[in-house]
Amino acid sequence: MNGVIMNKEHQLFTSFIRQYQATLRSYIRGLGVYSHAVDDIAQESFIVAYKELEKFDQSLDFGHWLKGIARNLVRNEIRKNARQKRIMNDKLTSFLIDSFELNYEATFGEHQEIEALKECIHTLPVKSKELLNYKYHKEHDSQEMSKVLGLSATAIRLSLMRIRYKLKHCLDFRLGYEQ
Amino acid sequence: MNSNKQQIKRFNALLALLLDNNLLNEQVQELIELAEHDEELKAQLRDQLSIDHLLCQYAESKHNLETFVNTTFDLASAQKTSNDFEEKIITAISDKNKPNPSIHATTPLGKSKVKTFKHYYFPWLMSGLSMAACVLFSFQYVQNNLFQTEPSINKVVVSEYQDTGVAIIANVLSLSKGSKFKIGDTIQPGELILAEGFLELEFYRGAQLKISGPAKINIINQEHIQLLSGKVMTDVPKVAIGFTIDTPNSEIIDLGTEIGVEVLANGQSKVHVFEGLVKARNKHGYSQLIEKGQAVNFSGERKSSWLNSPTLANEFAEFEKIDDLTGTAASLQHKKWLILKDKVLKNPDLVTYYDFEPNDKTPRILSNLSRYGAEHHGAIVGAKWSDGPWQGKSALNFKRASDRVRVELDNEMASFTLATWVQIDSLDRSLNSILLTDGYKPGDIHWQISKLSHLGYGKLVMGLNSLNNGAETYRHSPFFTLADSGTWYHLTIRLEGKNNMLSMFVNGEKVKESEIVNPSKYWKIGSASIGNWDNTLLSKPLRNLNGSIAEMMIFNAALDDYYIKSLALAD
Repeated sequence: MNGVIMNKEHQLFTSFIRQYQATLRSYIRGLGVYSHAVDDIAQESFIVAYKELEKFDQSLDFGHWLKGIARNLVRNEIRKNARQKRIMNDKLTSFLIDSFELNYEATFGEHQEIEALKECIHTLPVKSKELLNYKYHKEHDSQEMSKVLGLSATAIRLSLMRIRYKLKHCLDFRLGYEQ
Repeated sequence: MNSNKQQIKRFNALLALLLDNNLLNEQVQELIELAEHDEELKAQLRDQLSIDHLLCQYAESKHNLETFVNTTFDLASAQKTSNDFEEKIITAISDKNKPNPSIHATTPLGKSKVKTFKHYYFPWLMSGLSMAACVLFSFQYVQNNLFQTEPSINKVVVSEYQDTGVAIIANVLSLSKGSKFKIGDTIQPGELILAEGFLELEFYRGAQLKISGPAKINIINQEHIQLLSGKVMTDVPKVAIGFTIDTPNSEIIDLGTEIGVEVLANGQSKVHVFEGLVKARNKHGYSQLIEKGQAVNFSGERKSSWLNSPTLANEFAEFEKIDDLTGTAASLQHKKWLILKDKVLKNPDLVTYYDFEPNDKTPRILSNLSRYGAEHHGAIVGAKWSDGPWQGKSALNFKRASDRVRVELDNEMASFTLATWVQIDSLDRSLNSILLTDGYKPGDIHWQISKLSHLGYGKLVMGLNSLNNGAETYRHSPFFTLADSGTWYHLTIRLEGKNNMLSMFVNGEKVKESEIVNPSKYWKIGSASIGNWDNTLLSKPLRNLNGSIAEMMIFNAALDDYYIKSLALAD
């Protein structure tokens, strides 16, 4: 019987992870967490959620609950000593946590955000796609990209900002129409 | 203005550095100061970081996602087990009240300090797994260029849905009030108690079992049950030969037949073979084959005494009533529905009523029976006529991506009630339509079922895009799992404009009540699709229903709970 319960619990919990991980991970990054530490904090958030699963009211939004857990974990980073910190800067994280209260936001279906992002990337000019490829696929920093592309590092950084800005608007259009 | 432009320019320069991990601490302070009085810059700061990580996720692979999911679950499970272990130790210690000095150190507060898995191994495990995952991902995807070419189709490791059921309920008849058995429900291994009435089960291996209440059964697996008390009848086709019924004093192996088995209150059992052959064995190991027309009473311990007290075929005559009762129940349900239909048609608030009964002269028109008549008729596209929730009731089956019913309903409704009979075969899309207005314009309503995950769990979803206060989505879960595939549900949505309340009902019972946070002067349907969605988005996401609809009513008023219960024929 325990096996059956565990199996069901596994299915339910892994389906929760699949559904909410994309939003949660980008949310955590938005609190000023180092990109490479985002997955660690996301995993810890899911672990806390799993331990506390019995306390979760199923009629509420699971994504909202998870974000609350992640906020607390990120807040704890501020108190850690410098070598253990997983946030870029204490003041920046405090600022981001204090500036944005935890509001209900639509939870999109599994892969929906990534699928929408994919559609948005397809609409970009070739040059922009090339920049994204160097930055996110080949994981070049702006100095390395500068050498390859013959542009200044500042120009590259600002171009990437503009591309992200465009993508944000495109995502809002694709996802914001409703659920 | 110039200074503002300059500030934005400076902000952008600093933010770009931050995203490149090249911002100095003093520059962080400057970035915050520039953003703290400007909501737009604040939002940009957060959004740039979030999109940055979403792009990282896009660049990574589906395999990465699966590893993330599985690693997270494994870590969560490991820690839960570890904590249980910890709790057990602490309990054991407090029970004995004598800490073992070899494994504990006493703190100044006198509490045991246990070196835990969490404290010692968890960080190492996390780092180890993260590193392993990084190496694996880098290796796997180093040559794949997602931003310039189409992504390659990667083999996705998917944890499949596991159906732990062994049988489904094919028929229920004359059950006691409050009984939870429903046609289409999945039966799991375990005890099954039927107080009264009949239950017909279809086991996954092909055997059919009719149970007459009162009866108590322990279901072992797809081909093995224990009858503890009461009467059952089997119908075992060739493919299901070997279906076994244990009784307290015998074991009956069905070798392709129709048999009746009864366990009396004193634990004695009887078997009567109507067709075919069974192999019976009592608890002392005596066994024999029993053929058509023979009956055995397992009261005697010796094999020779078994046939001396044969059972009679008419002791199982009650099962013959099942067909008649089924027909009667179906016609009663249909009769009840016809009476309801008359009542509903007299309701002055009825805007649209599709009874989903085919009209021979116009088979591709979904007739509206309300006073708006042909004005609200729907056009059936692709969907095929099929059977409804009870014998005699029709439905439209929506299967292909193009199947739908097109409707045009121009009423503006301050309050409304929507009711439908729907059968879900599976949730194929992220969102699966019941009734969706074209696009999602101010005033529009979207009634659908969302798929919670690839495992097929569902949520009832009502999207309301108000005239002036934006869109909001209201949900109810849990609703529907793959095990519920093929089950008919009566669903109702009620919006009370006066109190700004939205209620959801399943089979006449209220399951969710929410305050409407985006009130609207009125709501409308306009051009819409039943079982699908027409939208103007470039990506054109599919939201077609895989299932059937047997009725849809739209009222220009918030109906009371009792009336809604009657719509579900549950009163």
